[in-house]
Amino acid sequence: MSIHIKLSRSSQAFIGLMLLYVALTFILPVSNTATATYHLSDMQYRYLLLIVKLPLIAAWSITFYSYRRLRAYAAQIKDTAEGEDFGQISRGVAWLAWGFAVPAVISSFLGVIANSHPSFQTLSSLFSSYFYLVVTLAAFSYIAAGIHKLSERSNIHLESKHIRYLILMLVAIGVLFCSLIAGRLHGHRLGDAYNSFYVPNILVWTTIVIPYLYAWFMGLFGALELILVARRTTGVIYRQALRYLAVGLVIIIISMSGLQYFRAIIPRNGHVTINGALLMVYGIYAATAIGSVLLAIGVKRLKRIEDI
Amino acid sequence: MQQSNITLYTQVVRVTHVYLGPAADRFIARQVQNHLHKEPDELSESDLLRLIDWVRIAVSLITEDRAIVEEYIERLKRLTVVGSSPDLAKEPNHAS
Repeated sequence: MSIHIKLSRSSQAFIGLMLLYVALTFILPVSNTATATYHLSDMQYRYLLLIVKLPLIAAWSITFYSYRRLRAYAAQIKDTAEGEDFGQISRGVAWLAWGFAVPAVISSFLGVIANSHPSFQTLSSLFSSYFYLVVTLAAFSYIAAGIHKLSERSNIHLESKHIRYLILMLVAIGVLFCSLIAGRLHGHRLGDAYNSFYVPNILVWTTIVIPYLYAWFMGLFGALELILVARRTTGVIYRQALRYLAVGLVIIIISMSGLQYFRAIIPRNGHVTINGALLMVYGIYAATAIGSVLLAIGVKRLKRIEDI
Repeated sequence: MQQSNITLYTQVVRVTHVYLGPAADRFIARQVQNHLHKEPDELSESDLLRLIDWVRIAVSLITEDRAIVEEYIERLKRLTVVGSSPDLAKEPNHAS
């Protein structure tokens, strides 16, 4: 008996990308600094690298799966009033699903080149900083726009108390982020481990900090609106399904914002470091995976309403 | 009476809207087309009990909350009584 699983082209491409990411672990040359630090042979270091990568691959795959479910639902209801809104949200989640896997693969190549040619470190670091920024901006803009239209369609608007909470949260996040970035920039040379933006301070503030804050604020604004929609929209059964989707998406928005926040404030050294920072990244990706599972459950329930 | 000008299909959709929100119209349209083999605007009072049976089956597959299903079906059944008001705007007692 044979089992035929029909995969879409994008699913095939994603699986290919993940396999390439694993293969690169055994193909690309390893960092001499890392092998010396951990007293490992090249092959032992490659296995260590694979173990470090596997949880990330699992989290990305779960996010990609939930994106595919959401896209299928959005396609199913595309001719309805809220079809376009879910379409925009699914485009945003697509950016998140692809946007963390693709740069990881490219960064693997760039990192290896940078290890043997230190002058290449600038390009490698700039790529990471700006690629993730573009992904976050695009993803959160689409998601927030879709959610906002959905809330307007449901005639649900933020009240003044919600806006006050939101402003307080955004100010706290903004001030903390700016102070952490200022700490990294102050007293460190351009391009050292603590100041790895590789651009003058004025460009760090204008092309990294401000766009990131804008993207996170958009994401959090969308998250708050989605919570209200999921609580207040009509249809008790519909609302139950939408709540799963909302909670999942809110967790994804917060965890992805947290990941970018964390990436921006921790120093980089160009190779794997087993420390608290890695555990923190794992924790954030675990939260993203949980959010993606909840999103997929919500979409499954919403889709069931349309299927029956 | 304004109620008498509203088609039966619209009344069913209005009751369903309380439970399925924006998906109500297309949900009922599908049940009518797939199980009664009619266009939604052709729905008549003689079809209503059969439609309610199909809706009960369909909604039971969507939610495991029996109380909500029974409450929804009870509201639909009220439409079979001539001149009754289906309490369209009221949220269900089991709304969570």
